[in-house]
Formats: sequence, C-alpha cells, structure tokens
Amino acid sequence: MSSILKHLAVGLVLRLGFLLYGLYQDSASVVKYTDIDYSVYSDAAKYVVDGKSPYLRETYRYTPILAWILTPNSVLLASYGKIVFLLFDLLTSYLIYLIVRHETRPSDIWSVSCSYLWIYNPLPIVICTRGSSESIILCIVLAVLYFFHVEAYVLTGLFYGFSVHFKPYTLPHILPLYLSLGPAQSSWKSIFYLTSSRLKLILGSAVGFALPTAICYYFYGQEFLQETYFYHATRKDIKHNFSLYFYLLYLNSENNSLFLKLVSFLPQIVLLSTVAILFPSKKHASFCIFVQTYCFVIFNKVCTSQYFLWYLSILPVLIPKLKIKWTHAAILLVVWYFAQFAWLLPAYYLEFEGRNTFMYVWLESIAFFCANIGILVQIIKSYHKSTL
Amino acid sequence: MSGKYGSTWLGFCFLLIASCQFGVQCVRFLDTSEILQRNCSYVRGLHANLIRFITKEGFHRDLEDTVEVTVTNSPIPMSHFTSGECFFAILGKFRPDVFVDPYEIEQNPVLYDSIRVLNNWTDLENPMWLAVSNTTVFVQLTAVPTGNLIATVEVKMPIHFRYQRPVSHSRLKNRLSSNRLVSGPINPGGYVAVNIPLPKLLLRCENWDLMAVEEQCHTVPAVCSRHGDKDEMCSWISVPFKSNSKGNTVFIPVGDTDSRVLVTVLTLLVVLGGKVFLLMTLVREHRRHKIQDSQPEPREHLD
Repeated sequence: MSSILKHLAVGLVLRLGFLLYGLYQDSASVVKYTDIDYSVYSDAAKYVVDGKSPYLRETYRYTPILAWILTPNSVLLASYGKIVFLLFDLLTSYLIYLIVRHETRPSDIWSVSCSYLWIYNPLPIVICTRGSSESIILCIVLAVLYFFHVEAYVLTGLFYGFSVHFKPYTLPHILPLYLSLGPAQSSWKSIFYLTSSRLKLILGSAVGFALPTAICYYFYGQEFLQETYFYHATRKDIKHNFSLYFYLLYLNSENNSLFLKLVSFLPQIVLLSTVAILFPSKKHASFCIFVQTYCFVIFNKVCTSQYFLWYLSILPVLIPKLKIKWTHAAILLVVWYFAQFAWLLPAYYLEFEGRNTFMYVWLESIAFFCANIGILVQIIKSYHKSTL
Repeated sequence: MSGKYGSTWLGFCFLLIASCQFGVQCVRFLDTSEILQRNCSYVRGLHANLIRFITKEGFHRDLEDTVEVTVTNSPIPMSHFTSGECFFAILGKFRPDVFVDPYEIEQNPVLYDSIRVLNNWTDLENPMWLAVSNTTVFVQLTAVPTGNLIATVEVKMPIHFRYQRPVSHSRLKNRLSSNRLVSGPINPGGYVAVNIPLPKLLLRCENWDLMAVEEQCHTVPAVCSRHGDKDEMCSWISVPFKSNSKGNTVFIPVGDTDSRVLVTVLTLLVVLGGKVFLLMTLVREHRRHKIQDSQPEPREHLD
C-alpha cells in the first residue's frame, strides 16, 4: 500500500511539473501547450459564473456539470481545471491498482506494476496537463469496473449511469455488466431473468443517469439535450481524422444516404453486442468492456487521439490476464505508434502545408484501422481468464 | 461622300466603342467609395497604401496588413494623427470560405488589443457549403507618424479556411487541356481558389464636424473603437487606397469526386473485412474459453 502511495506522489510531482512547463510554454511560445478544448470548458464555466448557459460557448458539447466543476477557473485560478484533471488521472491509476489487486491478491506486484503503466505513461500525463477532461470519464469507467469486481452493484450502476450522462460512448458497457449477472445456468432466456444483482445494477444505472440528466435539463432544457447527446448521435465530421470513414463521408457529404449511415453504424452494433453475448461472465467484464471500447473507437465515424485513452485506460487492468511475450507486446506497441505517425505525416501536409494529400490520409487511416484490428485480435487471442 | 468618309466613320465608331468599353472597365475597377470621395476634402492629400500578405500554408493562415499613408496638403493636420485624435481602422468582410475565430482573438492579448469580430455568432465547424455565417472584422490600426508619412503597426490576423465542396479533378483537367477553361477557380492539381477580398480603410477623427463630413464624404458606419460598445456606431470615412493586390487568392486542397466510388467501396470492404476477422476471432476464443472452463483451473485465485 505504501509503495503505491509513493508512486502516486511521484506521479503527482511529475504531472505538476508538466503543468508548470505548460504555463511556461503558453507564455513563451506561439505554439500553445494548452489544449483548445480547455479554453472551451473555461469559457463555458465563465458563462456559468455570469449566470448564463454554458452552451453559449460555441462547440461546448459536454454536460454542464463539467462547466460547473470548472467555475473556479475564472474566479480563482486559470489552471484549476488542469489540477482537477490531473487528480482524476492519479485516481485512475489508483483504481487500476485496486482492480488488479482485487484479482491478484494477496500479491501486490502485479497491481503496483500495472498502475505504473498509467502513473508513468507520458500519453495520459500530457493529455491531462494540457487540459483535456478525458481523465474524468476514464476514472468513472474504472470506478464502474472496481465496484463491479467488489460486487457493489448499486454503486456500479450509479457510476455507470453517470458515465453515460458524462460521455454517451459508455452506453454499450451495460450489456456485459448486465449479462454477467445472470443465473448460473445460462440460456438465451436468462437474458430476461431479473436477479437481485441485475435489479441493483439497473436501479443504480437509472438513478445515476436520470438524476444528473434531470438536473441539467431543469437548468438548460432542450439545449442541453441537443448539445450533449443529439449532436453526437447525428454528428457528421468530414474533416480529416483518424477514422477510416472520413474521406468517404467527405466525398459523399451531399448525399444524405441512409445506406451509408446504416453501413457505418452496423459494424459497431454487431461487434459490441457480440462481445457481450459471447463472454457473459463476471471474470470477463473488464475484457468485454475493453474490447467493446476498442471496437467502438476504431469503427467510429470520428476518431481523434483522445479517444485512444478510452481503451488504453482499461488495458492495464487486463495485463495480468494476457499471455503475451514482452517482445511481442513491444512489436504491437511499435506497430500502433508507427501507424499513427504514418497517418500524421500526410495529415500534417494537408492541414498545415496545404498539399492535397486527402488520398494519402485516407490510405493511412485504412492502414491504421488494419493495424488496430491486428492489435486487437492479438490481445483477444492472448487473453486468458487467469494466467496468474 | 459616303464612300470617301465611310471608312473614317467606321474607324470613328470602332474607336468610340473601344473607348466606351475601356471606360466601363475603368469604372468597374474604381471603387464606388473612390468615386464618392472625390468631393471629400478630408481624404484629399491622404495617399494610402495597403500592404497585405497571407503567410503560412494550409487551412490556418495569417493575414498580415500594414497601411502607409503619405500626407500632403491635407486639411487634417499631422498633429491630429500624432496626438491620436485621428485614427485609421480596417473593416474586412469575409466570404463563408474563411472565418476568424473570435475566441482565438479573445485569448491572445496582442490580437485582442486591435481586432474585433463584429458578427454575433461565428460558425466554427461547418464546411464552406454549410457555413451560415460571414465574418466581419474591425481592426483598429496603431499609427506611427514620421514626417509626412503615417505607417501603421503590422496586424497579423489568424484566419481559417473551411473545407471546400469536393469536385471532379479529371473533368477540370479535360476542360483545361481542350482550352475551354483558360483559368478558373479550380486548379487541376486538386485545389480550389479562395479569394480574400480587400477590406475598407476607414478614417475617423474625434471632435470633427460630423454634419460636414457626412455631407461631403462617403461614410461607413462601424463600431467607434476596438473596445467601445458594440451597439454604439460611429461614422467613418472610407479612404481610397492602393494595394499590392486586388484581393489575395489562396489555393485550398479539395477532395476528388472521381475517386468517390473507389473510396466508398474500398472503405466498406475494409470495414467488412475487419468486422468479420474480429467476429471470427471472438467466436474462436469463445470456444477455447468454453473448453478451458470445462477443465479444472489450477490457479485461478491465489488466495
């Protein structure tokens, strides 16, 4: 226990160091360290302080709770939000430790080692200190997994419901959670059996989602629903991004084809439900949620680098269950990074050099998609419910 | 008679038509404000030049403006510019291809000091053909008078280009090769020309006789100053100026509709392949886990 606290303290110092460096870069360089989204949240929080709707800030498409949390940004300290995000990031590391410890107890080696993967991971450190709010949702998802593992189903439901309120991408997580709480003798009919655990989960989820949603609706009405939920459902982002659909959507932007909408939506639905149906067990819950999230990101119509954290944050929890050689894992990591950099090069030339590299960006997004499919398949293959 | 002078009359008529056409062209190039300002004594003696450059490449660029005004026999004394009583501003209107991000301006103290986005709402996300807002920008210039020359401090305004409607690249190539399209808004390499029109150069002096100004000169209503009230409008004189360009043209990459079928089919095939591969792996692993479950587990929980 003391060992993890020491590492969390080091992680805190590390993150504060990055935060201070960011302040320096923002003041000294034309290229800002702070994420553009941070100014969106801060502006929205400022509107809240002024008694106005956070949705007056264009491109603010989050729950108003985020703006409420960040109100001290304009009245106390501009970096307040970043401090909140880095604390959530550390809490995520601690939850990784708790989940792995629960599965591998009494040994502490795995749990501490797995939490290192988050505490000292430069990707989340940079993302949270730049002012991205992702650390909050990652922390909530890991809290869902933790409470699920310790069989606190009401709390699991509450956190799950709140996670859907916060970011709707977590919606499919209910399937593996719900199905794994079924009766011992499983058949297709068991889907409809309401065990006490399932009831607790459903009730918790309903309250966790409905309560914050009702409060937000009370304050901001239809505008809140439109910006936070409906916008994401109908979003059609044709600007280049990691998704392999971007060029297809751009070239077909004027045909409002139902066929294309369905074709881009169906693979996600099929995969997300198949995972949950094939592995309906408590011990597979983390695995299912990981695979679901990974599939959601790579098959999504929009994909940015922040989305990668959604599945990367669950990966450390799975590490003890992956039978994979270090060299093999290292190769997969290199492939993942290489595919990203290979995409970034033509994307840079398109956006900042004005070269017509649409075709190359699209080809690289296909390569990145294939790399991700390959990596996910390797992870699925190397997954064993217990390798300890 | 008619035979003798016929060719002369014909030549005269030809000359008349040609000169009329030239005149029409000349008038077309003259700004309306330029014609109106001929009677405006306030701009007489002010010889303005706008030097505009667009720097950087790609979708995010900087618009760099400097104004140089030579003052010769102007009714406005030079001291009015030195004391800050009279000042210049630029009023720029952009088409939907381009926008200025008001939040970006607000967050940069240097930009915030001189630039003001006048439209209440700016569409920051939509492509050109869906964008519903045109950006209007007011830039207050800081004048540095030396002798009879007033040079303004260079203003570097970040501008952002929107995605353009995809076009067929080959059709344009064919039109170009068959000389049916000498020069057009689209470059065969897959770029669309986006024109940034020249702005209006405005002049205003505190405490001047507004009635006399409005009587003589073509005035433009605009905000009184960068930090003034948005609803409080002032009358500015539109100053005619020369520029190093007649509006800058920027080439922006555009998608090729010729590859629509290829991109659509290949993307969907890759998605289908990826999905099938993942499903097969999941089913295979599910079977393996089932077999594993039916066998005794030696070390599932260490406790």
